Amino acid sequence: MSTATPDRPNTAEMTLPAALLPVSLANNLRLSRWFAVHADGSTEVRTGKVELGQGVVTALLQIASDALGVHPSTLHIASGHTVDGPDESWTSSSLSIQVGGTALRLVCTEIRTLFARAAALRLGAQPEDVRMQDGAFGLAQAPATLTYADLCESVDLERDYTGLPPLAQPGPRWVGHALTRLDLQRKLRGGGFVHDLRMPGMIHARVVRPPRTGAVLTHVDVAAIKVLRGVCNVVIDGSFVAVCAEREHDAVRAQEQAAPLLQWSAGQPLPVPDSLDEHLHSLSTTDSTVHAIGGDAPAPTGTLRARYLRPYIAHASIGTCCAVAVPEGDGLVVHTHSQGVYPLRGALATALGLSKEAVTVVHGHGAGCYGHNGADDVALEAALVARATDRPVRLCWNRAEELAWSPVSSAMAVDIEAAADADGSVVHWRQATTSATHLARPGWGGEGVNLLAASQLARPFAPGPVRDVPLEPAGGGGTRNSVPMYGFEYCNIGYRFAATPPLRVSAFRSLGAHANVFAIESMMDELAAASGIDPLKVRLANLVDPRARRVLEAVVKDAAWHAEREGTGEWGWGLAFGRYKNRGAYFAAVVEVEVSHQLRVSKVTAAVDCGLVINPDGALNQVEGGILQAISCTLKEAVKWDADGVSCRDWESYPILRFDEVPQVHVRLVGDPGDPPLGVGECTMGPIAGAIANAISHATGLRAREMPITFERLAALAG
Amino acid sequence: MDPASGPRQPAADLVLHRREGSRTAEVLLNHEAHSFLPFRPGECAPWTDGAHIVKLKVNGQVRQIRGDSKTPLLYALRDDCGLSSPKFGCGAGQCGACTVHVDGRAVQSCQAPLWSAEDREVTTLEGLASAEGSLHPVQEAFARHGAIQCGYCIPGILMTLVALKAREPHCTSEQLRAELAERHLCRCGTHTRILAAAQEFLEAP
Repeated sequence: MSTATPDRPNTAEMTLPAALLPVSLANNLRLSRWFAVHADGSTEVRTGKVELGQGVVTALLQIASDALGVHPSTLHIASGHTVDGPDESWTSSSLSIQVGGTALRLVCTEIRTLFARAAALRLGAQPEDVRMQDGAFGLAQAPATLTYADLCESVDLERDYTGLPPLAQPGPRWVGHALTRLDLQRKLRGGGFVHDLRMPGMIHARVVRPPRTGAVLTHVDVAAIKVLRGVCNVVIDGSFVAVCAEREHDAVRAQEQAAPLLQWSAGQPLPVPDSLDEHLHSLSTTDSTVHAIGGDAPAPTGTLRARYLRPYIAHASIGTCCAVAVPEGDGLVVHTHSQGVYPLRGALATALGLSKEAVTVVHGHGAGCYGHNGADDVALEAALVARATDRPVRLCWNRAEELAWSPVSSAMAVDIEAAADADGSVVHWRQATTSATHLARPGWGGEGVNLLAASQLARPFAPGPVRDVPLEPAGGGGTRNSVPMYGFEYCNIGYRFAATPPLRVSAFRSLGAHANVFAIESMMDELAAASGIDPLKVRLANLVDPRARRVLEAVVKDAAWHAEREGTGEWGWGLAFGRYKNRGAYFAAVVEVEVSHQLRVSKVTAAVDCGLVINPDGALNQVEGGILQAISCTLKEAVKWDADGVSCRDWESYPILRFDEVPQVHVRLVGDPGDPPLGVGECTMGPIAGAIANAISHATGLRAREMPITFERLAALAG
Repeated sequence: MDPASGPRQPAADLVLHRREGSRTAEVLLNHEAHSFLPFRPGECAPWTDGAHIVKLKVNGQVRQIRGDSKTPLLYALRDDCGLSSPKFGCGAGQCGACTVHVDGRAVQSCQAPLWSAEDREVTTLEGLASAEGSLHPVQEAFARHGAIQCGYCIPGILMTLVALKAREPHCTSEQLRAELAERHLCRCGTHTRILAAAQEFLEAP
C-alpha cells in the first residue's frame, strides 16, 4: 500500500535503470515532456515521432488513449516540437511503434497511475480501489467522475518516470482497431502541408545553385538581379545565393533569370563510369568481417558465385522540399518536414551561430518521405534567408533541385559464393557487401553540419565525419540484413565500406536491406535451381525461427504455391522472405510476373508478422505501399550522373511506377497479438526485390542480378 | 564547433577567388553574409513587362488577378486566391499534383498560363466540397478506402477523377488506369487503394 502523496514519490518506488527503458523514454524521463492538461481542461499527449504519410501519429494516439484510458477524440496529440515535445531523435528505422510507442505507453501508464493516486486521496479510498472508466477515475461501486482535468492541480508532472506499479488499469480498447487517420480529412481537402503555411509579411525565396558541387561563387551581378521583376531581396553568404519576392512566381522566375548573372569556379568534376559494376569496383573501400560462423572453410565443389548490383536510388517525393522560417526575437522558428526536429535544431543553431534555445523547430507535414531527403537542407536555406531579411520566408525547391541536390541512397554490390547439399541445406555461404554510408543526417557522426548550404557559407561548416550505421545495436546501414536469417552452418559476411562515393548519400527506406536481401534471396533460388529443389523447401530446410516459417507457410497457402507449376516463358512466380534488420517485422511474398513485350509484376501475395498490430488498416497501408515502392525501385529506378552531378532531374529521366503498372496486391497480417509490436514501414523492400528476380527466373530462365531489372536488360541477358 | 566563438573568418577559397571577380564581386565577397535591398513596402523591383489584369471565376467567385498573364495558373491560385489544394510537384506537367478544372476539364495548372483561364471557370478541390464540411462523393470514396499515405498527390487525382466521370460516365477500369497513368504519379505506393476508391466513385450513380 502506498502512503505517498501524489507530488512526493514513495521512496520505496523502484527507479528503473535507463538501459532497460526504450531509448525515447530514457532520453526524456520528465513526464511533463509527454503530457499536459491545459487551462481549458483539454489534455495533450506529445510525441517526438512525426507523420511522414505512414499514419504513425494516429497509431501513437491509440496507444496513448489506451494507456490513459481516454477516448482518442478527447486527447490531442502534438508531434515534433522542440519547445515542449520529447526529443526522440529521428522518425526512422521502423521504430516509431516499437520504441516511440512503447515509451508513450509506459509514460502514459505512469501518468494514469499518478492521477489514480490523486483520485484515491480525493475520494478517501485506497489507490488499488480506484477504477478508470471512460476517461474518468472513480470507485467500483459508483460512476467514475474525476477526469484528468479535475485532478491536474493535485498531480505534479515535473518528475521523472520511475516505473510505478500501474493503477486503474483500463484494459485495451483502441489498440488493434482501424482508427481513421487523424490527418485524413485535412489531406482529402488538399491542405495541411508545410507548403501551405502562410505567415503575415511572408516572402518567397529560391536558391540559385552552383553548376556543380564544390563550385565557388566568384562574381555576382547584383545590380542586374535587383531589377528582376518582383525581386525584393538578394541574400548572399559565401557561395549561398538566394533571391526573394513577395509573389512566389516572381521568385521562381528570378531564380531562373539570376543563374546567368552568377559566375562560379570550376569545382570538381565527378568521374563518370561506363557501368554500375565498374563504378562499384572502382570505389576504394575499408574491408571488415561483420559476421562469421564455422571458421574458415574452403568453398566446396559445386559452389555458386554471383555478384548482385543495385544503383543509387532517389527519394523522389511527389512534393518538393519546403520550409518556412520565421524570425522571432533574436532567434527563429522553423517549420519543416524533417524527420528529426531536435537533431535539425542542433545543426541549424551551429550553422546560424545561434544557441539551440534560440532556434525552435516545428514539424509540419511534407510529401511522403522515405529517409533523409532535402527537408533538412531547405530548412537551413529558409532560415538563412529569414535571418538576413528579418521576414518570414517560405522556400520551396523545384523538381530539378529535389532530384539533383537531395541525398540519394547508396549504390551497392553484394558478392556471394554459396553451396547447398542434396536436401537443400546450405553448407557454405560467403558474402561481401560493398556500399557507401546509409546515414548522413544532420546530427549524425558528431562534429560537423550535414546540411547542403552549410559548406557554402562564408564561414563554412564541413559535413560530419563519414561513418555508416553499425550492425549492432542499430541494425546496420550497408550491412543491414547482410547476415542471412537462415541457420547456415558456415557463414562469413564481409563489408567493404566506401567512404567517398561521388554522390551525396544518406538514408532511404530499408537502407542496405534492399540490396542485401535481394542478393540473399536470389542466391537461395539459384541454389534451389542448381539442385532441382522447390525454392520453398530450400528456405524451410534452412530456417529455424518458427515465426519465419509461419510467414512463409502463410504466404504459400494464400498464393496457392506449388512447386510443380512451371514458368511459361511469359509467366512465372517467385518467393522471397526477410526479417527486417533480423529483429523487426517478418515478411514473405510470392510475386508473379508477366514477361512478353514488356516486364510487369502482375500479382503480389504477402504475409507479415509484426506482432501486436496497433492499427490494422494503417499497417496494411504501409505494407501495400512498401510493396509497390519496392517494385518501383527494383524495376525502374536508377540515379544517373555526369561530371556536373545528378543528371536525372525530372520524371522522364527518373521514372517511377505508374498506375498502369500496378499489380494486384494481397497482404495478410499473421502475427500473434501476444508478441510486441514491430514497425512495418521497411520490411518489404528486400524480399520484394528478391521475389521479382526469382519470378523472372522462373518465367524465363534468365537470372537478373542488376537492378533496375528492365525489359531491355532481360533482352540483353537473353542474348 | 562553438557557434559563438571568435570573429568570423572568411573562407580560404573565397580569398583566393576574390581576385578573379569583378569589382562588384570583390565588394560582395568581402561581406560574408549580406542581404541586399532590405525590404520596404512597395519597393520590390517593378514589373516592366506583362502586367495585366486577368478576370476569371475561381470556385464560383469572380476574381481579378493583377499579374503577368504568362504566370502559371497554379501560382495565381495559391498566391492570389489563397488556395492550398493545387500542389506544386514538378512544374512540367509530369506529375499531376497541380490539377484543377478549367470549365470542367482537368488541367495541369503548373502548365496553364493565367491568360488561358481568362473569363473561364476554375474549380479547385476547395470548390468541390461544401464549406459546411460535407465531402464530395469522390472524397468520401477515398475516405472509405483510406486511400492516402502522404496525401500530396491526392488533390490532383481527385480533380482528374471528377472530370473523368463527367466526360466518361461509363469509364472502364482500363480507362481509369490509363487516365491516371497518363496524368498522375504517386510515390508512397497508394495506387491500389486509389484505384479501388476511384472505381467505386466512378461506378456510383
